[in-house]
Amino acid sequence: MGTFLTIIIAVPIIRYGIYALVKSIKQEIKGGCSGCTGCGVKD
Amino acid sequence: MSKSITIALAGNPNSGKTTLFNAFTGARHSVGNWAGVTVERKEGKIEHNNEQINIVDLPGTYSLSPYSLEEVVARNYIVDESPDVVLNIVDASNIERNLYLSTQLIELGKPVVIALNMMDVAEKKGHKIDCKKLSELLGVPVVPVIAAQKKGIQELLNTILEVAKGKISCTPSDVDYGKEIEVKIKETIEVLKDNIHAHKFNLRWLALKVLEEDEVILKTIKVDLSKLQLQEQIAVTSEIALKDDLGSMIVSRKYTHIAKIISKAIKKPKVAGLSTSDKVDKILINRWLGLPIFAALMYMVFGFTFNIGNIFLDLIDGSFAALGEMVGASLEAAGTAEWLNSLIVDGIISGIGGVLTFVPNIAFLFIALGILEDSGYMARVAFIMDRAMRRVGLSGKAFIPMLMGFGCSVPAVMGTRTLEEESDRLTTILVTPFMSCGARLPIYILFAGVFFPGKEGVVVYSLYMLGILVAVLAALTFKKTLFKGEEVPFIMELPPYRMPTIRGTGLHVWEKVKGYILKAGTVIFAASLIIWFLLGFNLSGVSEMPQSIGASIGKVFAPIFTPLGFGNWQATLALITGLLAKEAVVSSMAVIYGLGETVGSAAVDGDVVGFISTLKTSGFTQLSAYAFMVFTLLYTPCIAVVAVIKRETNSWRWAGFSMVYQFVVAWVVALLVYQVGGLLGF
Repeated sequence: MGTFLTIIIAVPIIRYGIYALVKSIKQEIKGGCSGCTGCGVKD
Repeated sequence: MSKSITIALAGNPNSGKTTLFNAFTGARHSVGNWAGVTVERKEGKIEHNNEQINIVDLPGTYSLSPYSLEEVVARNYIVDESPDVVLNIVDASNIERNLYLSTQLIELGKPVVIALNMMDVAEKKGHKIDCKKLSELLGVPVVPVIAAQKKGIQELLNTILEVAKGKISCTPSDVDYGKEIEVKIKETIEVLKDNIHAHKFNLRWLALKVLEEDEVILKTIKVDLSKLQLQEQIAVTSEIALKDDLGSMIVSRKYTHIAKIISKAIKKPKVAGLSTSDKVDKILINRWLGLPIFAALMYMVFGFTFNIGNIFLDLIDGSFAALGEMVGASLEAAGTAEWLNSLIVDGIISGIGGVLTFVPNIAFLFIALGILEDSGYMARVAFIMDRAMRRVGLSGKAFIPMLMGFGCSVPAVMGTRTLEEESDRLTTILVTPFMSCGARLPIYILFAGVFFPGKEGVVVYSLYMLGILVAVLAALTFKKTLFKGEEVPFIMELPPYRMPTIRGTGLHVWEKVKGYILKAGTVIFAASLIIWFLLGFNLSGVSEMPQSIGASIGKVFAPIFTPLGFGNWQATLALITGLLAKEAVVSSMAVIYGLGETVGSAAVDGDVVGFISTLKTSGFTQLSAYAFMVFTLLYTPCIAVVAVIKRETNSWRWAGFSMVYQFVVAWVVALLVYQVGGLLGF
């Protein structure tokens, strides 16, 4: 049960972490801040 | 539904284009009581009377002459994309100057509708504007609006649709340039008629641009001016040519035309004495008082940020601590693996919690800056700084993007497009990242709170001032070496003082706080995960932290920082993650100092930012902590800034140079602080 729960929780967390990292880097390389919404830089 | 209609919003800086764009689309783009908020065109879509309308918000310009990048951007869009209607936003309270652009837009030969904005301000000033008469004289529809209150928006949209569909036709009146120039215009039109590159332009407008020797236009239509010999001929025939060149004569005639229109359509009261705004300016932008008042106001801003913001700090800190304990206990009860419990509690909750704890401080900083900006004071700071900036070879105008850097360096670098001289623009791009952006604030709050209790406000204030000083000194160095150029005269429109509104300031603050929270949920989340992994493992598997991959990476670069007083692997690793986003320095420290020797054994029980007590005993002294803050202030803000420098300069060389020289400057200044501070006995 513990191992099953570990997988159920860990997989989406790690997947989201990788997604967030790749998305942020991609956006920053284009000169867009991963958080900022106010300066009009397009994605 | 028929084919969609495209309208382009054009107008002077600070005429309310973005406010009108937001009123049309319901968007929340940043607006400000200063020039140059929009440097890149924004697009939105709306539906009105069953018609699809695309709205393009162009950068604010005073004219369509190619003096700066945003003027070229606006002009090229109108000429090349040929929108169905050009919506010219005119500040009704400052109509004479605004109509200069209007006459140029009308001359372009595109269908123009004028939105006479800020009618309430004009009425308060006692200006009586006869919109019908104005419309007749200009030959285009004029609709009164108050964009900030969304008044007149429906009427404006109805008019735009009617013009786009040809139900209202524009019959623009030509500016009378006088006999000699009119003859030259006709002659030039004859020459241009057969030019294959001229077909997309209105020939009268094009002829005027040729007579003005507009370099961009001459290149576009491939005309050799010397063959036309226009200047020489006009010089012989014109009675005023001895004093003025042709370009100046054209401008002068335009203003005469505008003055005639205004005398017929507008009644203004005779102004007796100084207005309230002028009286306030006598003090705030006084030659001797201006700078001390600015310094005092900034000091108050940081006092406000700390004193009020810190009230909420313990509350948020406690909430994250409770969340961490609750999640940790639940996971333990569920029997999940120890490493997962550590990943979630010591990695994610600690990392994100460490950053979100400072949300109130961020919010209060931007409330204070937002009030100063919306009131019109920040625009005046550029004027105040003009003398100092002129000494380093730049004008006060360059200080506007630098001030924007207090929020975020990305739009600040883009804001340099308003500078006419390329050498000024490059210099400002390279020095703007020294201005302390909001993302660095959590680092200062953390370190100032831990190592300078009771003096946090003074410490942070000193860092912001140091950022300005380094930027100015760097600008001086660049202007004396790499970018020697001519001084450009600084003519600046001071916006009127306005009472900041809760909505306007709230919007500014919300944008910043939302961005900060979004970052916590994305890049900080990822950074915390990576740091946790790097600290818990090495190539053989689970390891003790001092033998982990993270520690090994930190140890490789740590000696670089030894002369600066913080040559430990923990600080080094946090600085590396700071390249992703500056807040990641704090989240990384929260994970590094929050973890125990191995994954799963938290160093400190209790509050999530309990890593603070570990940080206190981590080897930092007051002096090395200050040197660390100085280094974080001055080294590359983040990858996004490097990328935007590349985009704005169109050169990886400048982007790479900015990274390297900022690192060198940060290292040297932090070294001076640490070594000289040590010699002085700090």
